[in-house]
Amino acid sequence: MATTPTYDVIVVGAGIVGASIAWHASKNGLRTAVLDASGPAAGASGASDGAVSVSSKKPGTMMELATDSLLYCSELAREGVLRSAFRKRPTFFFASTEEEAAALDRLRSALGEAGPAVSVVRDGSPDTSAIAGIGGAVARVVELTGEGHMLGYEATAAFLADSRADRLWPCRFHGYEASGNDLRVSTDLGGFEARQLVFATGVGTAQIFPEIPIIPRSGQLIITDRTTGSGWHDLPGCLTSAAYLLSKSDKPRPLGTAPVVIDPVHTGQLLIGSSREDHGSVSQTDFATVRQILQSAVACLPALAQRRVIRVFAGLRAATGDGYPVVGTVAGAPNVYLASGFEGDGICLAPLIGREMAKLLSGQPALAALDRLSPRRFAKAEASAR
Amino acid sequence: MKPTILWNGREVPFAPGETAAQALARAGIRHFGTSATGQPYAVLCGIGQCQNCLVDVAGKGAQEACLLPCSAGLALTSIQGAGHEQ
Repeated sequence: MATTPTYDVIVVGAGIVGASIAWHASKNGLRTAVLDASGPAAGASGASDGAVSVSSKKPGTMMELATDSLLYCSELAREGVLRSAFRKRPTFFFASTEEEAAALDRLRSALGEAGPAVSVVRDGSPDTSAIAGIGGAVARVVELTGEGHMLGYEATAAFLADSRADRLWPCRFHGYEASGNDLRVSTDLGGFEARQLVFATGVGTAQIFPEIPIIPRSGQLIITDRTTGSGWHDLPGCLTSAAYLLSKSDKPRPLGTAPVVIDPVHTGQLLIGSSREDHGSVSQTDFATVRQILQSAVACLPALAQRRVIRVFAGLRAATGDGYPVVGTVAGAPNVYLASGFEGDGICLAPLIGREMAKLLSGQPALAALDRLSPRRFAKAEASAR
Repeated sequence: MKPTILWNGREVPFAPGETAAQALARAGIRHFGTSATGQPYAVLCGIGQCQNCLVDVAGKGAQEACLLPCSAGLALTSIQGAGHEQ
């Protein structure tokens, strides 16, 4: 009789977070498998704009973790695994209203507290900025240095290609049950034994753990071709509306407003995003929202009207009820972990989450800041609500 | 005298109803520019599908020469690929 394959860790979900965890775990000597119902970066990782950004994070825990992850990401880019995936580039925030300008002031003080990883290079009127041809409605541009760009699917592929983990897809996870101290995992490809199980399942997390409030929050993204005419000046970095900061604050604006982000890709194309909708789907784009994003984009950079859109698509972010990811062990199952609910912050946080999850999986203590992300906070909330 | 379009500053005559691609072809201009991959821009499909005959229209950006009707004084310039990574 064939023996059931046994792993130290099975990671369910081959997005950027699952791929990073699998890479780190196998590097720590753990016998690891990563499985996915579709394939690598098939969900939000493959439909993201790829910003490795500290400045867009909520001040506090998220900004601290993002800073740590950005520095670690740069290290992985220097040392190898993310060499071809991560690129440093400046970030530009623009403000058109006083409310947005106030958000830029708050950003400057939050970045000051977060340390020197990301710093302000320039702050002033558009004609003093490094971007040519800013639209007349823009009153102020802040340029930051230290951040970078990393396409989700490229980073996922880099982690997986460099990992010793077994890779299984398409392979749907069916369920697990305790088997002594271990777990028996059933999948499309049969049964496996694992000492520990990690769910980096994005929006799919809700089906497996109904007690975790995961909200599928869609966003529309637009990609241009790379042909440029005489009226175009290359963007030196990402250009983002300060309205984006307002949507990430403690008192977020209602969904439906779509602050624009224009990110130049290394191919010469531009990725333009993005909205947040709680009703969206990946099988359908929302024309009215796409039009609104493009109108905002052309207002801040009029020469964009000359660029040609080749595709519009929607992605689904896994948001949580309180805006923080869920990372750590689930209530009542010390060898079952979640790493999900990143709502668009997964690209930036994946390097750090992989490193810290590998510590936990190896029985070592992880960063104290991760306590804020524990899935158990929802178990408590549920218990006290009863 | 036939009306003309401007190709990189040079006058190129056209007949009424012609596209930019037709007028340029008659003038012996077949290599319109260079794409980001280094391939020449030139007419291939002739029906706006292949995106291989792009030219820069002043103030409007890249357009398909094969779909672009000529009008007197229409100013077109070559697009030279920006040499981005593949």
